[in-house]
Amino acid sequence: MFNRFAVLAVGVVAIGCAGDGPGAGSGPLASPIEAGPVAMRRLTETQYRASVADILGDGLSIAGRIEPDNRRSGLLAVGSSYVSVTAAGFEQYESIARSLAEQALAPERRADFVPCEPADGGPVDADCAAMFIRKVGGRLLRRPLTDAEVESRVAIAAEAGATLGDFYAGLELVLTTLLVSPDFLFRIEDVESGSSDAQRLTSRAMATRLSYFLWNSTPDEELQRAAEAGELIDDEGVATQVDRMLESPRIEDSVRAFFGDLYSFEDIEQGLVSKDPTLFPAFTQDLIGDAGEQTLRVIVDHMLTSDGDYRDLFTTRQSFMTRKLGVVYRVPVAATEGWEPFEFPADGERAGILTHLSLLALHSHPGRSSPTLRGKFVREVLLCQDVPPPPGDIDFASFSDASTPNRRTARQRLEAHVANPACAGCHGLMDPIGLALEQLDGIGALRTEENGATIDPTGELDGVSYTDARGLGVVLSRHPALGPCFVRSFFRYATGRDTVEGEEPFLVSLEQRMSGLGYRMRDLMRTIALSDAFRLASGTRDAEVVLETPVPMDTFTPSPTAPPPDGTPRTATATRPRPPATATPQAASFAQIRDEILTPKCATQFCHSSQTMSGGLVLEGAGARDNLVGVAPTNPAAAERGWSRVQASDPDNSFLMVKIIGPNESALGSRMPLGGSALSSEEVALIEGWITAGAGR
Amino acid sequence: MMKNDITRRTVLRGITGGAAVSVGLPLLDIFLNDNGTALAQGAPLPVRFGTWFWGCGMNPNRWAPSEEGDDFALPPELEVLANVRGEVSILSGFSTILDGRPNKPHHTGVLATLTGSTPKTGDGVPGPTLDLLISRQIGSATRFRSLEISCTGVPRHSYSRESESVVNASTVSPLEMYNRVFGPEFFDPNDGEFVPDPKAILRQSALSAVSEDAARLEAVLGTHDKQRLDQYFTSLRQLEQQIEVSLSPPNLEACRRPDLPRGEDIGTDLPQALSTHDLMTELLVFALLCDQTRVFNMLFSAGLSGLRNPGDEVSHHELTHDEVVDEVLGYQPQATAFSQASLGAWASFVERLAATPEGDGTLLDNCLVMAHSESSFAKSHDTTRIPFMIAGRAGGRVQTGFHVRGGGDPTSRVGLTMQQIMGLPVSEWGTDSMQTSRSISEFFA
Amino acid sequence: MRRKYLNFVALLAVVTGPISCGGSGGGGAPTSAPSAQRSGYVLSSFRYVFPEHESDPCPGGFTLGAVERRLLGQEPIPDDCLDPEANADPEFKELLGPGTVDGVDLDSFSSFGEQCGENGFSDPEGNSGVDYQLWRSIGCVQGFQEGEISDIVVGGAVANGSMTILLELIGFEGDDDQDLQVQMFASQQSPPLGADGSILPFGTLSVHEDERYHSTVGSAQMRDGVIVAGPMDVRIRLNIQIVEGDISFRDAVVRVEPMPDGTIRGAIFGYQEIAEVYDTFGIQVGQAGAQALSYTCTGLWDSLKKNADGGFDPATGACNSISVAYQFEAIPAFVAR
Repeated sequence: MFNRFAVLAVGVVAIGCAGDGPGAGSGPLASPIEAGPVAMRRLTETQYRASVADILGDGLSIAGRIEPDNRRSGLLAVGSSYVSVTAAGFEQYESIARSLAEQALAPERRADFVPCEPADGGPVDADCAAMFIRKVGGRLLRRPLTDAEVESRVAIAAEAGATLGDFYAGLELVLTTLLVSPDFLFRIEDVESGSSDAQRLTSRAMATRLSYFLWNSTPDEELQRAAEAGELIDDEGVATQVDRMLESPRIEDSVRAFFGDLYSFEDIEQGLVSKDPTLFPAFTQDLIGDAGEQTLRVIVDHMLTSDGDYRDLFTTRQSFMTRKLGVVYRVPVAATEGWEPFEFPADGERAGILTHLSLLALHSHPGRSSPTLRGKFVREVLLCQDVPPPPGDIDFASFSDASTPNRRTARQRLEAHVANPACAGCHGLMDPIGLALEQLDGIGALRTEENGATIDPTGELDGVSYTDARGLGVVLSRHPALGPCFVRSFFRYATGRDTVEGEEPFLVSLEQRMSGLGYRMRDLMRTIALSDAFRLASGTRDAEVVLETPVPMDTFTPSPTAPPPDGTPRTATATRPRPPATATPQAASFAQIRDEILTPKCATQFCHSSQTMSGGLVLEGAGARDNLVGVAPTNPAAAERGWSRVQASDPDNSFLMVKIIGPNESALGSRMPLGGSALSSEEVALIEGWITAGAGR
Repeated sequence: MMKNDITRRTVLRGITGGAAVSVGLPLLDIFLNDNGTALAQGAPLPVRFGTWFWGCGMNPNRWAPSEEGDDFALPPELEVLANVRGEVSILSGFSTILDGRPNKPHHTGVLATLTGSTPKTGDGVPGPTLDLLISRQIGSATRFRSLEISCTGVPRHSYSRESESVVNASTVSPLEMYNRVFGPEFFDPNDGEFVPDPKAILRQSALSAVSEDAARLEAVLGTHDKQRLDQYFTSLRQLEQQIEVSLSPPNLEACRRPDLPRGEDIGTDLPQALSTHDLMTELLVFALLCDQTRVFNMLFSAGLSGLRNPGDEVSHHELTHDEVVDEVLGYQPQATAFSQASLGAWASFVERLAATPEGDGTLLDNCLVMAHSESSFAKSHDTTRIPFMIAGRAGGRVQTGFHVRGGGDPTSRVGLTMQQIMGLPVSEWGTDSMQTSRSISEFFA
Repeated sequence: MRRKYLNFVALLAVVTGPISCGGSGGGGAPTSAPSAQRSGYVLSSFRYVFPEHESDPCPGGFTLGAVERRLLGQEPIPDDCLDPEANADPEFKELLGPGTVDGVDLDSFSSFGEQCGENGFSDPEGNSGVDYQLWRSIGCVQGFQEGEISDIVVGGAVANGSMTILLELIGFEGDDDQDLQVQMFASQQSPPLGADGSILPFGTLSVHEDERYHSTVGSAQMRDGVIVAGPMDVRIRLNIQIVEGDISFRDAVVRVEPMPDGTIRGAIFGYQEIAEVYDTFGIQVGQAGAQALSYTCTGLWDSLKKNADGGFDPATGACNSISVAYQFEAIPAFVAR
């Protein structure tokens, strides 16, 4: 439920006026007009491990497969607010929990957690059990346990202790329950009850949010103390803790977690990157492990140790090497074991993390490199630009070997993408970037030719040329979208959700501040942690519409001895709303249609914007209507039929209608918007209604 | 639930006094699941449902038979099924109808098939997938609600999904599968006297305490979080069920613990996929014989089929787009070799089940397995004419060995039919152009 | 005559970039002029040189080890490997006839062979006096033949870290007639192995901590694409299964032939003390080895003494070393000091 509320009177609202000069970025940030929702977030695998290590000690081994995290909107952190726990996942969590409990309560360790000894050494002692439960439970559940929670667990401990004849076996069972409790596995972020205005996260919820944001682990005892004392409600209390946490070396864990998430490094950790052993004998899991660590080390070194500018990550020659990596980079490494600092030569082919083995190997196929995958990575992850998915109705018959007779290099093989207009729009966004990196093969090793043909790494990125991979890094570091994308991605990571419209002023001002401050990590962490957008919420998220076959209860009679079948979901709403019937066409103004539909969905950066003018059609700005009404389409098949792009009062002869509903002849081209979601039936009806009513202004 | 708890605890003291108590029939009743479907001697053999998936489709003009009915000639791409043609029905010409929605290549086709509705966004999952709908009906009597298996090494390759972000991850390692199903918690009836593990009962008690705690949480959550907490509850109950089942010995004659799988080699190479498939099929057969699960999902290769010959630069999926259609042959030889290898694996899967005796017939007789892909002609991302092959007689409920043409009907007809065969009381399924109330009657002749 | 190896030089440019600077544990200064190119290699194979013969080199058959005697129903010979002179093996077979060995006449490089006898082989061009007396002793022993146990075990040793050998060319720019130097080292590390089991080029390997395993530096010039350096003293360390020891070459000649693909092949010839040879094959490998390879310690020791062709000791009047020949291949690596 979204509660719209007026602009907060927190400080002066200064919406994005800061320029680029000195002093830029030091003004107050714009507040969100509307905050985003909160949702419970499942601990990621790394967070689970870190939390267990912090609470139960470092030396415990986790035997089992923690349920995979889910990537949503490009981040596991966002997916964490959508996942649940599947049956197999719960099975594993419980099994891991039993093993952890056994290890933690083993004789040599138990003194760390059990602050007492059972009376008479017997198998049952309610008081001692209660002390243990409160102590460990309080840390695991990140809050004090209620009396009811303690009592039920004391009962379990007693039952188990008596049955098995061992006090600590009882505690093991209790510890298991804590480790599978939803309060442990999920971070529940409460808002203060009461006012319908800006809902502030509770002190306790702030502790959890700050802790997993800045240290990627459970709140430490000092933070928990501050939480329970209510200190995290006001700015000063939060700032005190934030500054304390930023001083700690533990922020490195957060930086590693963020970039690891953003760059999909979990594939490296889980051994899912594989290469053909005959084509790439140098590739082993050890190598790719070192490669991932190399990139993370460079990032930590640059952004934390050196307090550097994020953009310079793509040009820096500073790096680290191990001997394993030295084999593929073909450089000597003095240190016999472990890491040593390394600087790529100024006149070499590599500079910046885009030329690291990690990213190159991740964005390649098992048998060869992939300019398209690498280009897609740059667009989507580094520049936050959506690349539409391929159209579903490509006519591949138009391609043939004759059009690409010489297919020795990737550039030659991808000629077909460039030649065909249905493909060029999107592939033109990706392929040139990846082609700059082609001198670095499927595992990132240097090569100058492929199949005997010289590789040409020249190209351009949004109008700026480069001659090789190093040049690409320079151009990328100056790309206006690079910094803002980093800021937004980190914000989404911190809050575990996509941004909402009402946050735009805040985000824009944040981007500008960071631009002025040089995109430094600590600055960004501190700014986000202290911002309104981070500690306010508009409420909780609505349930996802999930279609289910309704079970007509009167036709299904369960057997008299058994209750209804297991597994019926317990959601309150029993019936799902049917999708609305086609709305009756409403008359709308063109301005409304343009602003609500055409500009956001069609006039995107690479399509019908005034820069790109796909198909010669601009669908934004003042002249948009004149580009449509009474204008003949450039598509020959449509023009032959005498259609206009929009024929006033005549939707049946308006090519626009055909395009947005979806043409059924290939000669008429693809459905629009190209590749993305189609317009909803309401939107289609709105446009049809406008045309029928005369296609006015 | 409370009554059960008390009874459980009472029994617990009796059993765990230390003496090995053989669990007699009356006591067995208490440990039955809530459904009350018993597996006492003489009870009917369970019917199992499974999906078998391969990526990047086939060549429609070489795969679909030209005649309908029982006596159709096997077209070239179905010749691999020659040995089991009587056990497998071919459904051709059923299509995913997009309604103008985006076709995320190698993805939308399968999600639409399994949910009955075409997703509105590329990554969307409009509802729980077919296997989950069926497992809610029949999966609560077994230790595992369902088993998900991937033969190419990636756990997130799974089409068993509650929603977009709630995915039942696949097991990728035969050894891990063995440990999970036949590890220390499995009782082989041939091992001798069954003694329930006292710790198991204690675990169940503990889980009910977690349930109670979680119930308190519901009050403070929004609707989306409640939905997710619901799924957590369901999973918790499934574990309780699992423990409950482990308290009584498997009661199927043909059940025994299989051999430890050897020579595991996990990856996306075709030889690796084939060997993993072999090992996993073996384990699955025993998992079914021992009624450890009644629903399974076997993923031979993902929609974006990464199958590859060792030493080759390009994979199956890349070939479907890059390889030229041979003028003489009329198809892409290398890409087709991969889809044929996939169908070969399917054939060996069917053969293995058909060769496994159970009761008076075979394991396959008591199964219903839906093999399908995410597209027909992968080169053009074609989601019309999606291939389906249905194996098994579902315990005698259906006949098999025929070919039916869908004529462009939505693939939801297949999903609807599967549900009806498995006893779900549904008369229609799907939304918009995928909505249907017509099942495929040829099964029920 | 000048000969250039373009590919090789291009590769050199990669291989001989500046050794990484900075960081803890950095290496020491190179021993030659700082501006000299250094190309490093790690040996990817290291085997005996196998002579070629026009007629059967062992007309009396191969030596019978204990196992063969048992199979033939013969009485075992008493064979105390720790005291080989206590017995005699009159049937130990030696390879005393002619043969072609792609080797060198060590006497043209050093005087170490003076006052010792020799029974030289011929080289492929027909020149006589090629020293390889060790083969006289082991040439008719089954286990030392090409493809047999010794070849396999030793051949695998360079890959698995049991016998890592490094070689450096200093001042080599690919041209004939230019001064350069050769140095060899043992290494305590294992070369990096690829997913297919092969040794990967461009690994960094450190020279042995103990400087005894750094050879003396041999000077040479490349002529017609072949570098012959020496005399130099080279010591290699081996730790192969149960054997831990050295192969020490006195007054060695090291031949290096750079290949167009950047690898090198070559050979090393020199004198090894017979006591050291026997320490490996008699003391350490002992009875087990004698049986596996089909020799007797007694016979071997006696044969080594008889065939010794270097290191005349006036005190004893006997020669204590024997000429040996090994062939090798090597791939680019970074040699770290």
